[in-house]
Amino acid sequence: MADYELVAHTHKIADVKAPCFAPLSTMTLLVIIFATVLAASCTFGQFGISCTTLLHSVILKLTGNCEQITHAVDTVIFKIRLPRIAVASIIGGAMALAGASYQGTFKNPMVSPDILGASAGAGFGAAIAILFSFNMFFIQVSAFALSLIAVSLTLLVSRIIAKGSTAIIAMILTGMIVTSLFSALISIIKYVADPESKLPEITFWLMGGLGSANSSDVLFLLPTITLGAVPLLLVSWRMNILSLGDDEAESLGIDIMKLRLLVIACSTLLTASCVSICGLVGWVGLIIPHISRLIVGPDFHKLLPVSILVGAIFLVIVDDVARCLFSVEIPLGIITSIIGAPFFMYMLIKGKKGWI
Amino acid sequence: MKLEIDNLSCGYNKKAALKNISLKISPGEILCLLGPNGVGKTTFLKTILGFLEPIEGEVRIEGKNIRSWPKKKLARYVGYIPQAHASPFPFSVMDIVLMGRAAHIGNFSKPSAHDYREAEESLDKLGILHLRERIYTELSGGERQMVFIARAISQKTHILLMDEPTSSLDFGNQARVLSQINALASTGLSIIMTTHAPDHSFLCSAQVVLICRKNEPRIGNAEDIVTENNLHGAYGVKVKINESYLDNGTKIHSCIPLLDN
Repeated sequence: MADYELVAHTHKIADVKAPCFAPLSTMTLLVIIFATVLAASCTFGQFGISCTTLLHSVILKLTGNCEQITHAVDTVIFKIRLPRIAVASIIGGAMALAGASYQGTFKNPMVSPDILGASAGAGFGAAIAILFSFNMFFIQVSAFALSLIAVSLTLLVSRIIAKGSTAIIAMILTGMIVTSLFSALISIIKYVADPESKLPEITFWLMGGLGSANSSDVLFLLPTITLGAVPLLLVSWRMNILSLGDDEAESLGIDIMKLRLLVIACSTLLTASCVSICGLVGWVGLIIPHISRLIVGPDFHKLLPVSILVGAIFLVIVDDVARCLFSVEIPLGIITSIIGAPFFMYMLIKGKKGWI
Repeated sequence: MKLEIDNLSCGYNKKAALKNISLKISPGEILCLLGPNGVGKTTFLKTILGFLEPIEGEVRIEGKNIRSWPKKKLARYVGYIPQAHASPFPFSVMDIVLMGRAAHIGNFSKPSAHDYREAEESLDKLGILHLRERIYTELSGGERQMVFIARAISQKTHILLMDEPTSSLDFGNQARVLSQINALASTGLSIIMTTHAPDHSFLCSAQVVLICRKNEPRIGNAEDIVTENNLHGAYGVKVKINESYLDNGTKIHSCIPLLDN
């Protein structure tokens, strides 16, 4: 039996280079699309701004000749549209990133923060904070805490149902239960809220929208989003291994408890930050990673940056539709749901074995 | 690199499925775990891998108890090839093999050119470099098993644990995988594998642990342990063991179960 030997085969191993993040061409293309969408979005709206006016004003602004821009144009572009578009891209990117990371940790392409109850939890947390007139910071803290509680509850109960394993059907059903529980709690808050002031505030906020987005929101989002996103991008390659299952990941030298905790905490922070700014905008975390996977494949190291860009592009476009389609603004969450629900159905129908 | 298992009892929830197993494996040796379904073979593997705490006794590598080792350190010594399965994500073969490098890469880093090279060399050693860009979920069972072996090679461990490496493979692929197992052992790797085919212990000229429900496990060379009597005791069916000779004079054994009717 000792005759067997490992003989190097004749295939030539070409000089191998480790690719960095996503293929450069894909990223470049996405960045160009993103920039185009950004510029186009600045021109859309009731106050007409032509491309040349936009270009002219931006150049003037960059060269420091602000006083030459007319007051109306300055307000519309730099005080209203640009901050709103910035918030939309940050939130779109963050929600897509959170969704992709959830799918990796839970070893399933069909989960997202809204399905596991994270959004409903965050919604409840924020609704309470609004009821008690807390400031933005506490709205965010409260949204994060309850979001984490909701996800933990889903995981705990689904583990009990599935007897220790992570059966996805148990997870989705438990997510539904937790979501409906927190929706009921949100209803209680709405019921007791002052119908003159607090109730409309909570209601509009829950429908999801960026109507009130301004530049302070951008400043507010940046630190928390960075805090959530950077660790996820750093461990992105390891998410590949996490998605194989616990035993295998552990045998490859991954401390699964620590890594999973990190990923869940960071993604939940991203979700909660988004929810506290724009209300309940569902489905982005589910749809975008799927589309991105079609573009670059399942390797999380490439998937996460692409998801961020695609998510940003998607939400900016959807927000354009929300504010421009009718003379009255449509809540953002309604549009993402109208797009998301049929997409999810399509995925379930076309889905591969083992997704459920 | 010696693996010593000293008086080990293992099982779930403090209930020992296996008791008082002691054995040693040296580099280049193959150990086959034989025994009926549900007797605790996988539990035994999981205890060596550190997924389960031993109830009693210890597992030592180079004389040191592995109990408190961090996962990453353990993964540089012990590799694991799970039973064939399908990942929910359609990773490429290269992606899968690269995962074997995780134990050698920093927690926040990604594989470098060196790791890519190691991965390609592992694929090349098994003669499956041409599968590099293929989607692993679309491969046949035999090819998939080879990809896992390649991943274990790129992990550069000293000990390799395989959970039924030949289950769900056709006749030809079983033989191919067994050849590779022998080839890996000849490079100095210690291999522990579970199997349902007693023949495999002869084909790999292995040490055997035969686990029975009633008696103490029997440990020793394949020729001493895999006997008609012992197999009957373990599996409850009558077995005939044939000896035959190849043209070059090598003796081979084969086990044939005798059916009741």
